[in-house]
Amino acid sequence: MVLVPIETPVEIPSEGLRQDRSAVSTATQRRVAVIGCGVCSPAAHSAKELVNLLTAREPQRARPVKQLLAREELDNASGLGVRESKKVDRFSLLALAAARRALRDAGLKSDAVRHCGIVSGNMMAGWTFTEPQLRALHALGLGAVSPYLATAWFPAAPQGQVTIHLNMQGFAKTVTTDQSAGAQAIGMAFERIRDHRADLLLAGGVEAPVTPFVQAALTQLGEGPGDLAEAAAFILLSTADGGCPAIGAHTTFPLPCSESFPAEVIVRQIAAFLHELPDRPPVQTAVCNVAADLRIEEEIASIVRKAVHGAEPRLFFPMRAIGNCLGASSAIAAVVAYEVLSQATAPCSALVLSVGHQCGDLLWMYRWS
Amino acid sequence: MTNKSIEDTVIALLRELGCDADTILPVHELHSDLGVDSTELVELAALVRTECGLGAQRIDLVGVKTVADLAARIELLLQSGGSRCT
Repeated sequence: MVLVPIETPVEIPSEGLRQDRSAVSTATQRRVAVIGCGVCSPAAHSAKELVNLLTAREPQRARPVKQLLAREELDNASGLGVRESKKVDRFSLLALAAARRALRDAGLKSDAVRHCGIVSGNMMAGWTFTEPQLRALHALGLGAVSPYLATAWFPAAPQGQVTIHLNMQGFAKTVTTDQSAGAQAIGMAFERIRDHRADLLLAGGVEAPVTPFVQAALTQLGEGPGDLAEAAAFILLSTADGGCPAIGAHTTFPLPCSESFPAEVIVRQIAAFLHELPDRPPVQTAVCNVAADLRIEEEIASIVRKAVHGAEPRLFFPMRAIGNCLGASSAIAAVVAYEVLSQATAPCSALVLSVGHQCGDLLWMYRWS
Repeated sequence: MTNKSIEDTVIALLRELGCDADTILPVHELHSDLGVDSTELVELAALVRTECGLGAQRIDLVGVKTVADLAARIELLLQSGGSRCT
C-alpha cells in the first residue's frame, strides 16, 4: 500500500463501497442496528471515555495526550501471549483489543461470536513491524529478517488475527484506502446486513501510524506528522431490533486530486445524501474525522449547518483530542456518533462525515427511541 | 559436541521461541506436541544458526518432525564442518 500522489486520478472500486441500490429492493431491506462498540486508543479505552474527552476539551485545541499505548498495556488488551504478540504488528494488537471490547460490550456468547464476521479498514498497513525489518535487511542481510514479516505487514493482518484468535468464522474483508477506510468498512458491513448477505458483522478501522516512514510519507504530502496517534475502533452490526442506534444510510465518493479542501464536492454530496433519507429524526450531531485544523473544521461546520437547513447540530472533531489516526479516524468518528445516540433521550440522528486524501464517506445513524 | 547437548540446545531455543509446554523432550513432535508452526520453524532455524555459529548454512528442515530429528540435522551440519553450539 502506498500513498497515491495527489495528481494521480483515483478510482473507487464499486464492489461493496458505493451504495448498491439494485442488490435488494428497498421493501425487503433490513434494519441494521449497532449493538456494541469497542475502542482502543492511548487517549480513551471506551466510547464513553472518548465522548467525555471530547466534551471536556471541546473549547480547547490540544495535542494528543499520548501517541502510543505502552507495549505491556497493548499486549494485555489484545489478549495475546508473548509467543503470539511478537509475530504481529501493533495494528493487529490494537484491532484485537478493540474487537474484544466490542464483542464484550454487546454481551455476545461464544456461539454467536463464531458466526460473526468482520470488515476492517486501514490506510497504511503494518509499518511498526516492517520498518525495523527493512533496517535489519539493509544492515545485516536476509537472515536477519523475521519470518513473520509478510503476515505481520499485510493490510488484512488485523482481520486475520481477529478472526483467528476470536474464532470468528463469518464473512471477512479488509478495506485499504485512506482516512475514510474505517467508515467505508462500516458502510460495507451495513450494506451486507441490510441486503441479507450477513447477519452479524464487526466493522471499523485500525491504524498504527507512529513510525518514521509513515511520518515521512505524510510530510511529503505536505501534512504535519506531529499529531499522529495509533487507534482502533469497531462497532458490532446486527439485525437485532430494539432501542439500539441504527445505521440508516451510507455512501462513499471520490474526492478530487487537489491540494485545497474539496468543499464544493462535499457540499454537493451531503446535500444529495440528506435529500435521499427517509423521514428522518433531526440531525442533532455531526462527527467528522478531519485532523486538527481550525480552518477546515470551521469550513466543515459551516457546510454541515447549511446542509441541515439552519439547524445547529452539535459538532465533534475527535482527532482534536486523540490525534490523527488515519484509517481508524473515520471509525472513531462513527463510534462517537454511536455513543452520542446511545445517550440520547429523544429520537435523533447523527451524520458521520469522513474526509480522506482520495475518498469521502457519509454515514447516517439514528435512534427512534 | 554430543547429540545430547545439541538436543538440550534445541530445547532451550524452543523455550526462547515462547514454547510454554511443561516439559520438552527429544521425542516431542514440534508441530503437534509443541505447537510450532511453519513460520516458527523458520525462526527456530534462525535461532539455531546463531546459537551454533552456522552462519548462513542452510538447515534442511524437510521431514523434521521431532526435537530429536532437528538435533540430528544440526549434528550432521556440525560434523560436516560447521561451527559448534555454545
